[in-house]
Amino acid sequence: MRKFLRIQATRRDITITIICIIVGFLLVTQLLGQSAMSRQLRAQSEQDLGEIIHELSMETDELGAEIVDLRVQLVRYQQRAADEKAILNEARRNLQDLRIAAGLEKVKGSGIRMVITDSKGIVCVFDFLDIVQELKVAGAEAISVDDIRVVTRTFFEERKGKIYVNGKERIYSPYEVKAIGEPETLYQAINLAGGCKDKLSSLEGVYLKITKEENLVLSARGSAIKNQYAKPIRE
Amino acid sequence: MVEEKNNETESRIGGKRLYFLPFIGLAAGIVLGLIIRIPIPPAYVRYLGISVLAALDSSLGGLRASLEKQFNDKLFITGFFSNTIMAGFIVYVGDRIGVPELYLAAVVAFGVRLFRNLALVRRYVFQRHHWE
Repeated sequence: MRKFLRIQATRRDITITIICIIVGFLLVTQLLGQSAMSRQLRAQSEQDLGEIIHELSMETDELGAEIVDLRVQLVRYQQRAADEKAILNEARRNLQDLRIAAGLEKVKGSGIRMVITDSKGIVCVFDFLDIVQELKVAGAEAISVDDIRVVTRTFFEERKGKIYVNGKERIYSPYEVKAIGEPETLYQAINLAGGCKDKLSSLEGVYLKITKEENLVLSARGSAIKNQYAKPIRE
Repeated sequence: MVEEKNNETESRIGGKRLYFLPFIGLAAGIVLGLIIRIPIPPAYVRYLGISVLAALDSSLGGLRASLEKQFNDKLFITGFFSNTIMAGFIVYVGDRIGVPELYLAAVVAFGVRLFRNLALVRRYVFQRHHWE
């Protein structure tokens, strides 16, 4: 065939030609594919950018809603904290009042002071009970006899003519009774005709002096309160 | 018609006048590629690129060999196809096994050879024209 056409095509040249055709073909194919790819990428990135913008705007909306929610929650918590603080304060005040009533705190306030002089040793337990009762009726918030705080568990005893408080502590004349409350009310309660003052004064050798005070200081109960038999009912 | 061809276009006779043949071949290949547009999936454009580089390197190597009068057509053909196909394939495998840098290695390997062959070809051409 070759000799027919009188083209002396050496093997080498045929090879080279074929190879060149292949190389040309590959080059063109690659160039076309490359440009198509970059075009696709550009188009894609536009699309992607659009999507990204959309996603970001959705995220922004969501975050905005979240902010509103969180703010509402914050206000609620602050409100609750304020309420709790109020409750706590109230509880604290309650506790303080109860502690005062139980004689656990050293207290100061206005009230009256009574000094009972008993030269003959006639004053007895019942007299003290009467005094304490009258003071309570008159709204005394804290009472002390000879600096011993009088509370629920406080009791007076008489042993061999001597008066003991809470079993151990001996009190002597002149007895000093202090009471914190409204001074005028307390004063009147004792001073009342037919009341403690009259009753005590009528006893032989007993003198009673009452003064209204502004700054009374009553010491706290010596020992702690322990309950062995009484248990609270939790409902 | 053949005889006319013979008379008019001596330069087209294969054999000694090999200068134009490659260009004709190249042009034919380009035209062929433009006519038959094979779409390449964008994911594989990379691999075709490295194959093209290998093909170019082989071709230039062939040119150098022929200028050195050391052209072995069987060697050239096998080398051309082997390099071109394996280059793309090896880089593809590299991507799969987690060594994308293999692409770089291929580029460096073929690129170095390409430029070396180019320099040699330039030298040979210079020698020939210098003497003539």
